[in-house]
Amino acid sequence: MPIFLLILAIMIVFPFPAKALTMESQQYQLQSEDVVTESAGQSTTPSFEIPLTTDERGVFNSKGYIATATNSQPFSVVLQSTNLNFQQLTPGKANLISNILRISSPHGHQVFISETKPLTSLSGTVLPATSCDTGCSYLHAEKWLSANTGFGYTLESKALPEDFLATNYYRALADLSKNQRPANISLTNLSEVNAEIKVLFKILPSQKDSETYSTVINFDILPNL
Amino acid sequence: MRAKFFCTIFIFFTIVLLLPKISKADSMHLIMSPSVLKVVAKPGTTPHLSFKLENKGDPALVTIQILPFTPIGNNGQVVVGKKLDATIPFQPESSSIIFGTPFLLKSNSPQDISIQMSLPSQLSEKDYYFTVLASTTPFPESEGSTALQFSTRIGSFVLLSVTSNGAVEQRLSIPLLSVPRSTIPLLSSVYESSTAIPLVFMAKNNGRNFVTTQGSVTISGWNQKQKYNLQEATVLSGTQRLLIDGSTCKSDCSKTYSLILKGFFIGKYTVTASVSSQRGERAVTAQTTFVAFPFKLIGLLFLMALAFLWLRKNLVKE
Repeated sequence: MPIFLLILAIMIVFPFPAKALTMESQQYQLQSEDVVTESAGQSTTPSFEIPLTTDERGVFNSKGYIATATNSQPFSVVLQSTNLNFQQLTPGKANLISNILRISSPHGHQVFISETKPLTSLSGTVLPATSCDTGCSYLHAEKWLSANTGFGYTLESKALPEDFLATNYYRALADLSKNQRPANISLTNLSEVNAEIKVLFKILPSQKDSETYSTVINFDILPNL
Repeated sequence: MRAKFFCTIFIFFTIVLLLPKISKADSMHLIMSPSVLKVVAKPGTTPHLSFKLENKGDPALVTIQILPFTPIGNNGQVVVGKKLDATIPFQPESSSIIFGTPFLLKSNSPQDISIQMSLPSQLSEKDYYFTVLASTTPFPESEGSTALQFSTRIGSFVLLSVTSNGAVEQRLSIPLLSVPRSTIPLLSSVYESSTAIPLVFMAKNNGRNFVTTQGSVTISGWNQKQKYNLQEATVLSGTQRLLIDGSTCKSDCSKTYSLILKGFFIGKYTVTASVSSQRGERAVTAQTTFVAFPFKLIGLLFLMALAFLWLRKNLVKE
């Protein structure tokens, strides 16, 4: 028993190092260098060219190009509503509406959100973006439970960005009129059918926000490579 | 009686005509295919690209646009550029589409998007990446209450490799194969046998052209040998990609880890990762190891042994 424990202790304290692997064939020889845990080892093939197959060669020579669609599954996006109205705004009272995106994609998707301009009334007054309880931004969500006024959004989905720690975490919207870059709200890299992203928009108006406001929310939705 | 009959017919048809609009109020459903079009072309040619856009929602104002994109991150993410430079001119082949000008896309009416790409004869032999975007323009807003209108922009990718002889240059490497450190204090290189063990496997393409990879990971130890085939991934020129096994690593896990090993491991295991182009040419391989020890089982056995000894000692006394 003590010998067994001693062997185990040696295995734990002195883990065996990674070894290089050499591969050979008649055409080529490859050698990968050591790749050790927690470090970026190098294991590289020399640069090489892949010729066309015989079938491809015929098409390439006659047309000058080959175009290949990689996957038969199309990229499908459903947006539940293209126009949403908040209820009558009441100062100090939170007002929520939601919209749902459903995405089907062969290799996952990426979704970005932005607003064309801030919520603006016909007279030109602006309902400002939320700063949440402790200072959120269009790139970072924070808790928004206080009476701090403004406009923001939160998300419900299986692939939430890491900053949305709970359902009461909100972000402001990236404002394209201020050259802010659309913010990523979803990123997946697996095949999916009807992956759902629910976006909840919240307005908490102040005493002076008594008008009606509007803006355009933009969703940029791309398949993953 | 006759007036009542016509009145009923009128109400019926009014409801029938209004019903579809009530049940599908201003929804958007666009389908674009293919999601990725790979093109290998000679300089000086004019490749024809074909996409299909289908509207399964309400009629929409749609604008077609072509913009370049650049890859970012390790998960196949991209950033769409703001402007297309004049290096490669694109022209729609159908007169019904003008790039940058909205057109009405009716419900359930597929729209072919045929594009001609003119490659100058002096074009550098390398990769060019574009996205064909279809964006919807919201209809005029309703007044009276605070409103949000929604515009969507969906896209398909065009990966273009320009080559005069048809051969594409690829140079794969494995910049990272790692079993992240365990959370066991002072023994971060050892895993508890019963816990799930994550693995990170990154492939990099240092070649001139994009490559679609096929990869695998083999775990071998004294008691088992298991092979995992990884999901194919397109690695663009000069970028790296996390290769993943979708069956063990789902949703959020797949953004950080390649696969999650589940089972009961004891001792030292060797992880062999291999990646090659889709056609299997020139696989590049790397290895790493991890050690697992059944701390919980040993602890339990130790406690049971102590309890047994204590019980025996006390029972003997009695």
